[in-house]
Amino acid sequence: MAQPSQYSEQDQRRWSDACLIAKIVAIDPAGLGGIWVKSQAGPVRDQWLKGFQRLIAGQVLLIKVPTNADEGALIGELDLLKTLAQQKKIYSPGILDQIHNGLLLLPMAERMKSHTAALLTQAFDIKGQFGMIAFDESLTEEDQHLLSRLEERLGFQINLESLSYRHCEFAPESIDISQIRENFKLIEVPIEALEAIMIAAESFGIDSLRAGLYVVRTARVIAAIRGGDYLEQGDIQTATRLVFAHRITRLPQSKEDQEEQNPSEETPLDDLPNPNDLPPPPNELSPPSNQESEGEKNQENPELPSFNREDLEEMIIEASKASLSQNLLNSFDQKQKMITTNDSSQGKVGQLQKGLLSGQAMPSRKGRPSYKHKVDILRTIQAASPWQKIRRLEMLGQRATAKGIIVKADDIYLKQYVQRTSTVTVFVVDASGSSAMERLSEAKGAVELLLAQCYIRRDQVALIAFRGKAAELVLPPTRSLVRAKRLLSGMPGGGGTPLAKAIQDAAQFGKKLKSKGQTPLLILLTDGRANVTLDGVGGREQAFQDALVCAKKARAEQLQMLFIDTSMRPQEANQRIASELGAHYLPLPQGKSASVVEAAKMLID
Amino acid sequence: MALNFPFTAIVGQEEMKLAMILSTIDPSIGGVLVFGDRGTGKSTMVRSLAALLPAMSAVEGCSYHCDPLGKILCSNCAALKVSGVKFKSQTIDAPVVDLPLGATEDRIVGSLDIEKALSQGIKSFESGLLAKANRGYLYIDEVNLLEDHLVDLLIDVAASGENVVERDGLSIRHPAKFVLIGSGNPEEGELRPQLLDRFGLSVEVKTPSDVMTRIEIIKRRESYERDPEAFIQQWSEAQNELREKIIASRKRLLKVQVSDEILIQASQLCAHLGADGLRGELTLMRTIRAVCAFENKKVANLDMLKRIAPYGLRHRLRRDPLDDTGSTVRIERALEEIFPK
Repeated sequence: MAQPSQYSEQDQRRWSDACLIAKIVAIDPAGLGGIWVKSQAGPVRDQWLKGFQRLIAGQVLLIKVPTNADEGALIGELDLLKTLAQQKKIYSPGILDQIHNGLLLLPMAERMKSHTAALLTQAFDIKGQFGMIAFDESLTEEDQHLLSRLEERLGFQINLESLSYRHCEFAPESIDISQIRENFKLIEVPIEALEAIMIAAESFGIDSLRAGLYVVRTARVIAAIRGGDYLEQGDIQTATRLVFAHRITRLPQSKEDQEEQNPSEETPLDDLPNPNDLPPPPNELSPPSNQESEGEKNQENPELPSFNREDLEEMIIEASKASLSQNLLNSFDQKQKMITTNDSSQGKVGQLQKGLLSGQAMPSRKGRPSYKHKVDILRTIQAASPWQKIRRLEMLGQRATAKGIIVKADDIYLKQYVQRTSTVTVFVVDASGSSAMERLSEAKGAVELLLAQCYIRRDQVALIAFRGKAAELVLPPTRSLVRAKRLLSGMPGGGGTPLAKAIQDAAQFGKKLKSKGQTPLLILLTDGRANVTLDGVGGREQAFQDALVCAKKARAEQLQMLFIDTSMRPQEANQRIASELGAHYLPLPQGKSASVVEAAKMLID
Repeated sequence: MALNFPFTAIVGQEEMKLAMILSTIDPSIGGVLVFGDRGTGKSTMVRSLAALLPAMSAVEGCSYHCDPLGKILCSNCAALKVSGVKFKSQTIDAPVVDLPLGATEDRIVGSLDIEKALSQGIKSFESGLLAKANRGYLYIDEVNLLEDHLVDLLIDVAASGENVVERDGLSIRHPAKFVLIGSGNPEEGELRPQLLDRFGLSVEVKTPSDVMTRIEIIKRRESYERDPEAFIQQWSEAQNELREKIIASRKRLLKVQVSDEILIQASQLCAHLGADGLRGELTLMRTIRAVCAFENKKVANLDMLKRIAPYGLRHRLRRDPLDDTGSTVRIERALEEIFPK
């Protein structure tokens, strides 16, 4: 809990940045993609949204798109009812047709289906007439994540988590959006600034080229908001900070290191003509508040400010670095992992249950047609046919000559299908010291053989490893078996055996998969010998008891499980855990991983 | 028409550019598969293709834009031709159709026109994306995330060049000959071998790591965004030049000689690599021919084969799902083994 008294400078900046970003995006929604708002629903977010709405009131359109918005709602569809009534094609316009350089508000964007996201990003890429504000309410990093397809296109991220409501006030301030929109397009960006931005991006490990473009646009918008008609260093500095902050994947090497390592990199740059290579302005690193006066001074004197690329570069790096908090740095690795993999895991959310356009046919049911359904024409006409005479009489006088069948909305039947959901095989691998000593490599061999099976069945695989005090989701569900194998073979061994924790986490993960409509199969590979309790303390007896308890709880989830005992001889303790789990128990005989695979194969099928 | 970044203004990504150009010179090569990271300009390049493609003539009012001079016609046009009516032709841009990831079967293959069926009681066919893409390009972003039942549809149509609809009481067939372009990130999942096989060429793209290249990209993009029209104007000469070159290459295509020797070498290579089917050899041959035409050479040679082998075979190797040796490396190794210097 953040206490008001501890309201730090950093929090303050987070909020003021959030307000600034709101302004920037209001000016150029299509060019900057939009905002990724990380926050639970709450007063602070409401405050921000309210402020934003006030800001754009009457100037920019903001349309809310519910998570379950279908294709028809987004891109427009045939209006069946009106069409029937008027006997000619009538289309209802979709949200994307009406948006005209406005903004879409996407609540619970982390739950968005990939189908919807695909429609949005495609429209964004091709027409590019809107920006998006995505509310991400995911609780933890491992929880659902924003679809990377979407995330990549959003220029900014703001995090309103744990900000204090009392300190957050969206300064009421009106800006003439259309005027600024006109102005910012005219602002020139010096080549040196472009170069500096890209070099900075490189040194922060930001691969996507979009980020660089977004910085450039942002800087121009900031300058225009300021009322200037040229860029100042402060503009670029702020822009870089806002755009880069959440994209940084590594910290730049210090200047000296860089020069030592790639001396060649510097040479071509020096050749660049830089005619107005004046000494940098003295206010280089002064806070933005001073910019105003500086701007005025320069306006009297029409000479444009000049930039020295290297200074700029350094300044940009410093500015971006300053916005990083320590825990952000620590999460780089994890973030990388999440971003690159979440698509495959999320691409299927819900679709398997609801993508009911193919599969085994089931009896049709009544309902309103949408893109998710197919109209069962025969059944519909059948339903309508008994009423034809009455309906014709009813319509007499209006359209007595109407040809064909008169169908009303409640005649419509929809086709239904069922589909088998996909399986996710979750390997829960013991990487503890005892396992490492004995059979880790052999267990890995068994897993590889099982992986080959998964390949044949086109399963997804996930990998959880446990050692020391914790279990960790090393690989979220993916179809890429190569990655699973690579991770597995590179997995270090050593440390205690937190079996209880592993069982608990694995069961939780299995539950999550189930809630997404997938069928999890957990394969637990361990030699048992639990020696770390649920609380992370050592103690063989307690650890074993904890494991039993967790196993009992896990059983309640009714997951399909396989316990592969990797110890030298089958252990009775392991059999007990397996039976508590309700898992199939399979000892791994020495050097015969193939036989386990045979057994597992039979179980899986 | 929406403005697109000019093809010729794209910096780097030479492999991908070449593959795209070759597929425009000889569409029978059969499409390009692009694998790579996000933000590498995959989509930009595909969309820029539209402006580069030479315009083509089509039967006016035909929803499949049949070629008035072509032999493959849709049923309507064929009936017209038989009855001796002269086609009115119009010049259209070659279609580049986007297939969204979540498209429904109905939208792709076409379906019963519900509106007509319900309001007028007429059974008629509402054509889908495949019809729209006829004689042009069909682009699938994130092709590896495409639903299985859609993949099945594409596999069949891409091979036969004809879309056969037998559903909702409809029985219709229409030409659907298109160049398939797919892109995706291999980390997120693999493609079915059958679909892989339908792509003629494959390229792997990476984000350029060279700072100067990256800067150049941003500079161009920036000036494009500031004033798209002016930027396109600025590059129009280069665009026209390339377009002319493609048209000229198409004409040269049939004059290129590919000797038996080269064909034998191509077969050797395919056999050595264990590439399934004969499509590998066919693609290699067609690609070599297209390269020769593009570079204005009359006779193909071994160097060309070596150069284009990775494009044509990379995705055809039967792979051990657990072996991550890059296919490109395997092809290069095979080339060295068979054709030692």
